[in-house]
Amino acid sequence: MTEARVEELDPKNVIGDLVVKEEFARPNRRVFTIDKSSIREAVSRLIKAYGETSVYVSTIAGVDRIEQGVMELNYFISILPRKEVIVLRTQVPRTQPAVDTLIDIVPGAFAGESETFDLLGVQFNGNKLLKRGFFVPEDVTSKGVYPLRKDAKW
Amino acid sequence: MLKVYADGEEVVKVEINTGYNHRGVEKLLEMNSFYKGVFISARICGICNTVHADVYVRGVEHVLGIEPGPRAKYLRVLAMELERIHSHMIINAIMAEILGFDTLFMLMMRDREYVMKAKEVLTGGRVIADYFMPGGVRRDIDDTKRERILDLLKKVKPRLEYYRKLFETDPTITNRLSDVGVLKPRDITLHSLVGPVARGSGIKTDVRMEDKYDAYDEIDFNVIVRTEGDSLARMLVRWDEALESLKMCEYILTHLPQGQAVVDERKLPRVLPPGEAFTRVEAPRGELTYYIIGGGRDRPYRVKVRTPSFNNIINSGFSYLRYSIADVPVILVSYDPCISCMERAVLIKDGEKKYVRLKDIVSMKRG
Amino acid sequence: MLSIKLIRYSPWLVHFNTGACNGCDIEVLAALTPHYDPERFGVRLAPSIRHGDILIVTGAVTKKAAVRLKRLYDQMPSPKFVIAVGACAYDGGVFKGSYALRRGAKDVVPVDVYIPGCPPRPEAILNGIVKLLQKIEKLSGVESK
Repeated sequence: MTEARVEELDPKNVIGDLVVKEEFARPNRRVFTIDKSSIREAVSRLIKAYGETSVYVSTIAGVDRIEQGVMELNYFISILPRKEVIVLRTQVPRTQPAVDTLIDIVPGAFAGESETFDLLGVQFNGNKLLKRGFFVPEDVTSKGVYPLRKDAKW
Repeated sequence: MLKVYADGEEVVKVEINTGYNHRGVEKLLEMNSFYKGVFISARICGICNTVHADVYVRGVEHVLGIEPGPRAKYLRVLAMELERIHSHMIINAIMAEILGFDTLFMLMMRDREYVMKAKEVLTGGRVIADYFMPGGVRRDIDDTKRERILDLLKKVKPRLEYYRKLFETDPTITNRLSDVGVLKPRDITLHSLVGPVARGSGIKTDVRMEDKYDAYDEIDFNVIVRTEGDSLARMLVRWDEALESLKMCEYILTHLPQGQAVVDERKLPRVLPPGEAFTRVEAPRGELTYYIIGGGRDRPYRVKVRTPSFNNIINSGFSYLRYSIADVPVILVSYDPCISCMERAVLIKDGEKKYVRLKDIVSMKRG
Repeated sequence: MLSIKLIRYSPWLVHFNTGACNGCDIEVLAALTPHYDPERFGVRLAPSIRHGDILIVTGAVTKKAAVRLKRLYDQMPSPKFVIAVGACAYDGGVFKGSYALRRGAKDVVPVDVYIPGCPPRPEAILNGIVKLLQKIEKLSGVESK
């Protein structure tokens, strides 16, 4: 695929069928809400469509939406030829927060998944390197507390 | 801290032990008002405090729906570029010290003082600038200060050029850094490595060019990319970037737009309305991202900070394998970790565990 | 005591970061460069903890780092002194109230001198070291009587 065609390829055309809702975060970041079972498929397709060296997972941000009873996971993905960052957003139930890991497709997700597990308690199925105490001190982890949750007490 | 497992001289496994620097900042940012957040976020990293404050303030401005004037934007870029110069100088000085080049370390630290003085003239602080505020900046400069900063930069420029030439030609440096810690382009993107680490391996990415925030849409600069992918390439990218930053600072000081730069803090809104913003900035170490969610109170609902070292250090354990133990500090320093991360390492050699300083590992050269 | 007198003439520093933003660390580093000339006081960085006389603590003592701080302090031979540099080493600075911090360096080791600032200038750090040396001199003056 030539450079020009990759730039013009809209990510919506790559993952559109998986998208449940589209919003935007300022300034001009498109947010695509997809089902948690489709995250791996979406990321794989983006890498295949734009090329291994043109896409990277920039940030994984977990948000505790306690009033809605869910945890929100936001995957910020940078598409270099388009100079654009898109957001893949998904929700997991707060009582059993779990989603499939990305580290076998994108080893760089290791840092973000480790942090989200240690601070919010989201399980990443298939990631055997998750551990408590990666960041959080022992006296907090020994109480089973995930400090970034809205109802955390330490 | 690095946990290095060695079989003889060869590295067979590296584990990254973190948490020593974990201060629970994201929770603190939820517990304090979003104005206090400007000062808390700056102190996440003292070496790159202006970029932290800038990206946080821009995120808050997006949620509030306000925008700073052109003069404030130029002054913000000036503060950030001065910081880039001093940060690149200090990591290169530390690389020199790790290699045993104490004199070079001292010389670079002496010349760095000019840049610290320039930062102090501009922002009022040598290290922590506390210069940013939603809506603009907190101090302005007059012609005297402008001339003083230009004067200081004129003194630094020949020194930067000299150090750059040294790193490119001096065999003591080039022999220790060439072909050490080679990263291929797909290693970079698959492991989410950012900044000079990525640009040293041929990936042309720079948030200043991609997002064009603050005044970067009006200031010309080159994105420095090298293709060798070794530690030497990464350090040379930093020297070239420091020289580019110096040119940008001189351009800014001679093309400052008129207008109001300082914010009247009494007139600022008290509440952060609902809304979300994802802002990025090119810190000296790489792409720094903030994700801010407002909740209609004076405290943000969520602030997620992802520093460049978070990716570069935690995800780079694979890159030490099969190099000799003496190469480990060189590779680590070429990723530009914060000093605190570099203090100590655990060396597990032939089953025996030792706590060592990184400087001592370098002297364990083979033959 | 003779050993205290010797420290006054050539105190060797050991620097330990307990979770700082590195602001205080680079100012401590800068204070040890020729521009500020610490060697006129006989001050220099010790090659290892066993040779250290003065422990310089920077950072908002995180719980994980506090364990190592205590171990480091115990490894130092007596007589030994501690300087806490920066607002964070005093009580956490801007990070006060976090789940990951202890209540400052004094919670872990006995501190002799506090140097306020965020970060303190290299001149202030040298000033603090000199004040400690004066305090040590008074101590040795009392002991020798």
